[in-house]
Amino acid sequence: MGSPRWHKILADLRVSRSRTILVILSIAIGVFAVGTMLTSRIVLQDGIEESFDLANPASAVLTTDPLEQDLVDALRALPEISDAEARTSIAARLQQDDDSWRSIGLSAIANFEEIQIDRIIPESGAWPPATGELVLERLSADDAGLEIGDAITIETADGSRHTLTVTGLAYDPGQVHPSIGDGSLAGYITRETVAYLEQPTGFNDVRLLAAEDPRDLRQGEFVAALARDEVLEPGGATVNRIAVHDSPRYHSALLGDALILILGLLGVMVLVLGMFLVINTITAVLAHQARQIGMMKAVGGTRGQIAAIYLLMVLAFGLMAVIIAVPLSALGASAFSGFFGNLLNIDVSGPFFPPSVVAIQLAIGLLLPLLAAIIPVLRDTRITVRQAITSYGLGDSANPEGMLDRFLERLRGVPRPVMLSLRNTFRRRGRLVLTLSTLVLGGAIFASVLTINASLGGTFDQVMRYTSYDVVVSLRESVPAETAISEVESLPGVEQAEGWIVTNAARLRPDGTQNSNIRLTAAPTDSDRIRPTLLEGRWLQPGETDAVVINVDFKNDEGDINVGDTIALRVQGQDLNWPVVGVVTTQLMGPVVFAPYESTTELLGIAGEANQIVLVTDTHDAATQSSVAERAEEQMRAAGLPVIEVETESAMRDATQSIFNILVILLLVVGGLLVVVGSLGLTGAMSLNVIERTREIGVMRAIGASNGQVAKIVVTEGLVVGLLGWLLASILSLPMSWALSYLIGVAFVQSPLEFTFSIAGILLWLIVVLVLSVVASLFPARNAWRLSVREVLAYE
Amino acid sequence: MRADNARPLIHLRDVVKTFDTAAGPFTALDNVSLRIDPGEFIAVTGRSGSGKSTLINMLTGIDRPTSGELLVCGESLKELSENQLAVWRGRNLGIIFQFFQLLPTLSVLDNVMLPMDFAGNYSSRERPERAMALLDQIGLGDHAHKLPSGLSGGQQQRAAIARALANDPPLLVADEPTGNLDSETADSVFRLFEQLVDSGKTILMVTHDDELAKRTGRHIVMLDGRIVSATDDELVTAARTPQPEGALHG
Ligand SMILES: Nc1ncnc2c1ncn2[C@@H]1O[C@H](COP(=O)(O)OP(=O)(O)O)[C@@H](O)[C@H]1O
Ligand SMILES: [Mg+2]
Repeated sequence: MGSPRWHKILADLRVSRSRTILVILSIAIGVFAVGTMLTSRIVLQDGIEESFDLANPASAVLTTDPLEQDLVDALRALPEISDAEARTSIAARLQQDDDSWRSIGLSAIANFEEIQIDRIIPESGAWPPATGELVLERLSADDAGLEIGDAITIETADGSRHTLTVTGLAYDPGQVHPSIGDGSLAGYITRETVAYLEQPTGFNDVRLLAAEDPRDLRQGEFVAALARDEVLEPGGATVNRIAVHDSPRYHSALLGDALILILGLLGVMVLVLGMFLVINTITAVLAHQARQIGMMKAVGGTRGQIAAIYLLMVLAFGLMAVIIAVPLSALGASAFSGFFGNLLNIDVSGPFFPPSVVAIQLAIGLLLPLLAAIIPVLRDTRITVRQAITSYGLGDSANPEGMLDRFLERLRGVPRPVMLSLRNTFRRRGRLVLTLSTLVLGGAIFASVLTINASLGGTFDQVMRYTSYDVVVSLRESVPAETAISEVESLPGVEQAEGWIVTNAARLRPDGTQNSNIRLTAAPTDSDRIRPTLLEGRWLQPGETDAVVINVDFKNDEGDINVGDTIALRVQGQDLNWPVVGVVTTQLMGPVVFAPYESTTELLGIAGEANQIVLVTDTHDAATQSSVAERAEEQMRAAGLPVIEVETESAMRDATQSIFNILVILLLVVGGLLVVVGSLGLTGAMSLNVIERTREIGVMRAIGASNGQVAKIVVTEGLVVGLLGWLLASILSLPMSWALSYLIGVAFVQSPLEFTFSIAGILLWLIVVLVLSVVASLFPARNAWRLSVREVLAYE
Repeated sequence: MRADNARPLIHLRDVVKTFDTAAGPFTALDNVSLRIDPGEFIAVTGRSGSGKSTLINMLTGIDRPTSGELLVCGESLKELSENQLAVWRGRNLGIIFQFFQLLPTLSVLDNVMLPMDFAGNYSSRERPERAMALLDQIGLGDHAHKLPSGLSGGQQQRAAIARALANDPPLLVADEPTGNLDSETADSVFRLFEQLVDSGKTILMVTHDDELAKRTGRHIVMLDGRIVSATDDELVTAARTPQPEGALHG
């Protein structure tokens, strides 16, 4: 590499150092962004899969009245069931430092050393815990601020309180961070501790593993029904609920899907953006070299030789960019997936250099710049010696025949310096198209990201609008609604109370199988406490009987139900064959069917009864809600009503909000990254425009233009490009964000997001564009006028 | 002509310009002193590298001397900032380049009006009229609305001259204005200069065409950064050794 032409290249690179850095940085940022997105995607996907493998999740979980080991053994003996384990699950509450209560699910495990289904992995401290001790799920400890050694007060459903000591932490891969789950904490105890808590020690939580396809939803439903019908019920046990794919892990899989989808989509978009950035910069650098090329030809360089030099130079740029970007993107992906991994309760362990992503990065970093360079290199190396050495002047104008030129020609009222800016803007058509493409794409993605963000907000409101009550009291069994309502109706702050039935239901499919994973909500048809957003059909009419509305989760899970079809439901042993009159949006709680309260309770033989009391308070703030909740609970317990849970609307809102926040954080991180990529693209494109016109600036100085006048011309030009790019970006962002919110909505909430176009997004981008246009054109212009006219004109 | 005006238009005293080069300091102008009165038409010749362009750059404030006094159009250039120099140039002198340097995106008329816009010394209604008048004067009236790329080299140089005249400066400075033109066209440009001098302008022109140089009022010859007395035959002969110039420097 000792030949003069390499010296020349190296010298060129050194001399135009800022341009070299700009090119390398442009490529590097693109490579980095793509690498971070795609690697995070792989790492999270692997992590989620691993967590399933680690857990060995149950095919189905049956909630029963207490039963003994012999029935579990009988289940194990079934050939369709490869394994069965039982636990004692206790829904309880834990007293926090501020005396407020937080729900905790306690699982009593018979043999801690041999958990085969929904495995729990000890992390630190005791394993198994001794009597009166508790092992906490690691994220529960984290979220509740508890540590090994802490003593906690537990209140069980009957109101009795006991103290437990936290002696260990464990990783339960079936759980996710409480903030994105149902907010409930998770702890593990022995059966002796169940007795210590004065709870029935029989098993009430039976976990089954299907022999065939254990993670298949249909297999889960099949073995669950089999277990109930062949073993448990004949054996005298009562099955209260069947849950298939109903763990927080499964629920968060939707969130994970949405995350992974967003990462993939944005990764591709950033990739395209990065491509434009690279093409843009390389083209500009080469344009600048035109005269050098002529000179090399003058001293005998062939076109091939010269082209090779430039292509190798471009390859060198790319190589440097890749060397910078690949390790950085591993760091980025590690931080990114670490953050989301914590929420999803998965251990992200890499790979942070997945070969497929590194290959893509190499392709973007090395091949793309080469491809981008080939056309300009071939074009510019065609320059003749004469053209090159006589290019002292200011070059030729674009073909003045275009409509735009004729329009600009006619712009008579505009001050000449401004007209100069306008004409300059449109002078290099190809360059303008490239600059604009980068700008438009960056802007459109940025605006789309904020629109998705806003649409998520809209969808969140939609979910929260679903029900409009302030407090909901759940009872273990149904009681006469009048009795329960009269206990709470007259409490201060309570305005209205309504009795509902919420229970488990199974859909009996035409092929004889069933989906037992459905929640039935029966509210009075004239209730205005429930107003879901309709996707198809209509809502239940006041006084209507014998009709149901299903939510989109139900419809998608089953796949064969349309408005007008009659579906068969089994609810508390009774069969119900009612037509579906409408489909509503999700509430992020899985499949739900809505039925008229009056006809449902009649059919179930519990006319006038309710197992859920919803309250409306006079003011709807969190404080009022929780004080009413507390008093309602006391009052109803005192009256002997079997209260199992009291929830406030604001607590539910917070829980839902935090799920949305995950996506919002992701989008903001990506939005930030885009601002950087977009800004860099804008800065690069603008600066190169100005740098290319250094000579022209010199001429203007020679004929009397002051600093301010040069600045005005250059900045106007930057602003024109910036504004044009912004305008096109705003237009493009509409279809783009619509498509994105459709895709993300279907992945996340199973229906398109409630599309809310973010005006703030395009305004924010406008500000970014304005600031960057000025800065990016002013700085190189300053450099240009700092050069004395002599340097510009004589020795360029 | 204001020959009786006692104040010189240009006054250089002991101007030195050294460049720092890789091979050490290089003196491009070596104690040059020069006085030019209003209305003079001066040709500067000398072989390539003798310092002609450097001298021009000193006079136009395009570059600054290393030492020495420099008074042009009543202004001591030493005291002006780059920005002030640009403004001063716009009002006091017109520069004509070898390669015309018209702005390619503006029509010829716009190019001529641009210095007026910068200097702001004609009303915006006067500007087009004045620019048209200048173009008519140099015979380009019919081409006013064309882009520079639509003109021949000679026409472009004429347009550049019209632009240099835009603010009616007393002084025109031209570095090899005919260097890129064929001899016939060069001659017509030169005749335009003669007319301008007749109408009272002061013109300083670098050329390597001795025939043209002889037709000016005063002929300065440069050699190795110094002004050589035109009467010193030996030095003049040495200085006149023909040198192709322009094309390959830079
Ligand atoms: N910026 C500079 N740096 C170094 N040397 C220069 C510079 N400008 C001019 N020179 C040198 O000064 C001498 C005079 O140059 P110039 O005035 O351009 O000559 P001329 O116009 O008579 O051909 C030349 O030798 C040239 O190489
Ligand atoms: Mg010269």
